Amino acid sequence: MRIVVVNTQAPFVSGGAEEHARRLLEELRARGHQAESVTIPFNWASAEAIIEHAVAASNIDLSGFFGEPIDLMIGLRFPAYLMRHPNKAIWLIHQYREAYDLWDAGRSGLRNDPTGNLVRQIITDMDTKALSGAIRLYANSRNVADRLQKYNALKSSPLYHPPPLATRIRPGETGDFLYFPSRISSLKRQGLVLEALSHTKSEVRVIFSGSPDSARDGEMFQGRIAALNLERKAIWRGHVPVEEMLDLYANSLGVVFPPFDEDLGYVTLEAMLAEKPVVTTTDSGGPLEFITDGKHGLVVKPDPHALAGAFDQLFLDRYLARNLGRMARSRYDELSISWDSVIDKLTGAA
Amino acid sequence: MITVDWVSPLRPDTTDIAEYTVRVEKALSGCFSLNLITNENAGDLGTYRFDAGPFYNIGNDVRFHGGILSACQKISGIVIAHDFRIQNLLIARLKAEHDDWESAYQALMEQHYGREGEAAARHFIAGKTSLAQVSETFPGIEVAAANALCVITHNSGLVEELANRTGLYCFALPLPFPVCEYLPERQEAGEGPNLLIFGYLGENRGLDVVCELLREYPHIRLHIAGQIGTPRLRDMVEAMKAAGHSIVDHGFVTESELDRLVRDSDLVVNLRNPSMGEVSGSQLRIFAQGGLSVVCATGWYASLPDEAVLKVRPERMKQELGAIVERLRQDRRAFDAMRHAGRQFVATTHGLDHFATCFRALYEALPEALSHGRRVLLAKHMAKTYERAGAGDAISSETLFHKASLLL
Repeated sequence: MRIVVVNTQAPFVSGGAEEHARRLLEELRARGHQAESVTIPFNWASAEAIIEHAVAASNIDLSGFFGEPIDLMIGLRFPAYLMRHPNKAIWLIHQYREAYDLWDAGRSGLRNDPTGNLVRQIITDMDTKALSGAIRLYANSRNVADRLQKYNALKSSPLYHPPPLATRIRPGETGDFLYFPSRISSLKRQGLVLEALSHTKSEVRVIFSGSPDSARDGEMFQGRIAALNLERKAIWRGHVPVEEMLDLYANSLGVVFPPFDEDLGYVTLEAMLAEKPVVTTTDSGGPLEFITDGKHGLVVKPDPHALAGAFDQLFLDRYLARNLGRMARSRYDELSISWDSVIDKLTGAA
Repeated sequence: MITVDWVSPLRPDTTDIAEYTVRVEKALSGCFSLNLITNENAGDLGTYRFDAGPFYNIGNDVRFHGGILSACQKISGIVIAHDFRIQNLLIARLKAEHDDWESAYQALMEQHYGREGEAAARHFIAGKTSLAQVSETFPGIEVAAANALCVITHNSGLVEELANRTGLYCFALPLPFPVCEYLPERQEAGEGPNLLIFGYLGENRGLDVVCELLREYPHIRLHIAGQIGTPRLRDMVEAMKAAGHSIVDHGFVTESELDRLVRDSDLVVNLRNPSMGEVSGSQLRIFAQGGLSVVCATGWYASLPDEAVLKVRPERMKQELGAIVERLRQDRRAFDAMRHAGRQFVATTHGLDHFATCFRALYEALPEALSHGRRVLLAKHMAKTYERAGAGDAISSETLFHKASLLL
């Protein structure tokens, strides 16, 4: 099949979504499809700009070029999936969350824009219309599928895929530190983990890795470590090479991942592959699809004291930590997460 | 309970729209909760809940609606057009915001009405035409509705015109007005008919016609309650008083005192020529108090039931008003059946329960109207994009709306 994978691009910004699209292309090509990537820039600097880009995307027809039809379009993100094609499959990484759950949570920048409410409603209408016209509608997690049901009344199925490091992650020793790999961002809530560390009673440490969303995020994070006198307990390694990340996963006591309403979160799946328990929170979204409290990790309220208790519990009971980690790995294996399954479903072969 | 953002002048603002909001709140209690936002706070995004609406109450007085006008031009919502002609508001707002308000006004009129609008603005600025004349062709409501999603009027006769002018869905709602079950007994005073004229008495209220009648019928006693709006009219009334005519100027009176004056008068003169297109809260008060009234047969007033109110044609106002006064002079109870019919009319078509029923029906129809409104606004947005690209003439507004409809 001739397939285009359409995605959104913010120039000079690259993260999990870009990696995800790149991997999808590779997997399609590996199965004999002619696959090409089409990206459009998306600038959400203002409510006005969002509509400009959405309208621009919706004007692009991808049904064919130079007399050759394109058999299938796979849309991943807003507003790229607004591009037009008669055979449109959607594998939703996420919608423009500031118009949906982040608006409801009072965390949307649109709320500060006089046209924000209107733009939010226009985005909702556009999404509903464009996504309801898709021949296949998948989300990359149950959490994302639930949002689509809640805000657009559209039914979709979660379609899980292996995380990028799936083939390289390995279990190792049970160390004396917790590992928190993620970009430094308010939505990932590294700040909450620092607050928790200031309340721990044991000698537990947390090693953070990941680049900050902005220089200011990085400065604020470092400043908070200093303000709470946590230099010994909180270690930030910044961006780390893959090999170092694999070692950190392998030799950690467990993985901390308490984001706010995460779409999916590779971190959870990678921790499970590394046989590590995951400490997450009741409002973290994606991780809760895989982690059950007391079975594959510890799920606590998004509260510093509750998190501190979970950290201490794992530090003081290594047997529990190892056991939860093994159960997490078993859970991952039960899910039969594979690229074969993903490609078959997206192309209609399954 | 559904919460709606309700942007309106509030008590103690001396406008009937503040009283209207009190009545709306009372009528809707139990089903809807109004998040009341004042004219002063209208521009503050933090005051909005955005569960629905916002509903913007627009009238023609900048003291009570200037902030609301600015807000509704920025934050899309539902415009309740209490006045159809709002040129006074537009100009007062421009004067407050621009040193060179004349240029701003011409630009605004051109933006909404093209070259003809710009020419009308120029003629008004040069003193060649009055604002009332400008308002006849260019009412100004399009400016308030430029960023709106739908429009509400209390004058069902304006629904079609408002929809045509704005391109939006337009709904009619009755003006809510409570009617008490029992009225105090009427007290007839003096010999001749007692006429009452009340409210803000501008040049369009027929005060000069009434004064002329007083000269022909010296036995008439005229009661004035409220404010005489222009120096010319004030001088005229003073001259009449000095000449010995029976005129009682009450000035501003309390609500209950006004109700008593309405009840006890033989005829309330409630003329509007020209009419600004509004539904008259004053007229509903007259009906509710069992008053007998005379109106001009124009606009909303023309639609009132003939058995409930006396009507005169604007071009024969003096003669026809004179005939009514003559009839009353002969028999003060000649039209008493109308008093009862008026009360019946206001109770059945403007009662609070009826208003609540109509509002609920409107609220159920809102999603479709708002969806249409968003398509209209998206089409306008796309038009700007074409204009920026220098291709504004390359695509019609119908095509743009069609394109927007494909997206939303």
